[in-house]
Amino acid sequence: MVLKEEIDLLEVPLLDVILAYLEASDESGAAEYWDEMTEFLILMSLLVEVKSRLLLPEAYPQLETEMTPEEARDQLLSRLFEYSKFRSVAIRLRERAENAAGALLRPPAAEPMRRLPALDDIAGTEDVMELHDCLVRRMANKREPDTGHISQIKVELRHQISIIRRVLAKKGRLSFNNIFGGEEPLVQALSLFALLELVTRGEVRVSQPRPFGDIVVSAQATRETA
Amino acid sequence: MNDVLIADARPKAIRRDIEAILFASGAPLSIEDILRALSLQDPGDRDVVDDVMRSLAEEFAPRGERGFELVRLAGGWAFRTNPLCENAVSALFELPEDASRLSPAAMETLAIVAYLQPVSRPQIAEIRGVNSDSPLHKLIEREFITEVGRSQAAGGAVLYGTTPRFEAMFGLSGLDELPDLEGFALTEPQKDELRRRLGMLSVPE
Repeated sequence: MVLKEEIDLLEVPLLDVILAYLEASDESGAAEYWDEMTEFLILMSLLVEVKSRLLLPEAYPQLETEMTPEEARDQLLSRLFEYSKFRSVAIRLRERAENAAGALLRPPAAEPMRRLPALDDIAGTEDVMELHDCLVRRMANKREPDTGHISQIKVELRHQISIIRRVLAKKGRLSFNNIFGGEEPLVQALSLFALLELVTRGEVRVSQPRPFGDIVVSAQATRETA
Repeated sequence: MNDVLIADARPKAIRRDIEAILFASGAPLSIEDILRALSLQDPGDRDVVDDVMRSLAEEFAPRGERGFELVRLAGGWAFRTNPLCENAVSALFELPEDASRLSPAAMETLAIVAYLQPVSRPQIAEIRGVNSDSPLHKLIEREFITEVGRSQAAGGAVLYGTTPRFEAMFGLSGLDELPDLEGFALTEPQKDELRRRLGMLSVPE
């Protein structure tokens, strides 16, 4: 504030400065930045303290651990000298950003992955970033495991029912083992469910002469008649 | 005659290859990246690449005749659209946010990090005289700064540094392109004026 508003700390009423700052903030829209307003409050409180110490030194009996007004001023001055450099260079940075604005760095149509270095090339590296980079890319390039060797079984209850009906329509009876004995266990199980479904509906008659033996299936007479 | 033709064709091929990898890359490429990509290992190859880059930089000069320009950014070379074509480009594509719209507090904080990195939060607050958490968070969100380590001193404060995105968005080829900070120091008359305002010098009659 001392730099920007050219305040003579001893002469200018701080209230005027506060009002002027608030007015300028409203106009520029800076009042919407909470951090700006907070900083303003802190800076003003610092200036109030420094000014009151300058104006009323006897009102501030010096404690051993406290800075003298002169020391406080020196510290503030030193900080302002240092801070002013960054404030000025920030203005230069903003100009650079304005000049760079409006340009678009061409993003590739499809993000090309850089070729990974051979593992042998980075073996023993102590560069953490290199290892991290390599690991991230490896993970990004992780391929789904090849499951081509696993055959996919597609079986539906409705389809198994239709198979049983078709054989029965043609031959009148069937041997479960002859029709489904060579199938995968899952297909056999579903075929058994299909058979039970047909029994429930009264379409077929089943007989199993011995436990775990073959199941003989024949069409129900009523169904045949119908 | 054949030797002459071969000698003439090689830089052209190198130039063509360099154009291709710069086009394909989404990020600036350093000379080392280019040498490695083109498997150029002879001592004289760097000079050839430097010559090619100079030639390309002339052809794709900033704000020149071409629709895109070759610029040194973040320690490498990159193609980007010519800012003179901003209207046409922005009609079809979302341009990156304008870094110049950072709040003054954020810009000052960014300047401190850029010059003093790695720098801790308390160091920034010490220079600015105020808590700078909010501008720091904004700068991290926008990927202009990032955590780069921890202080070895007591407390192990988080240290911050700038990112390649900062250099790209501010048109810097590298941190060494930042202007000398001491060039922004107050002059002696300005310092005296400040001292006077703080009541440390008597007002001249």
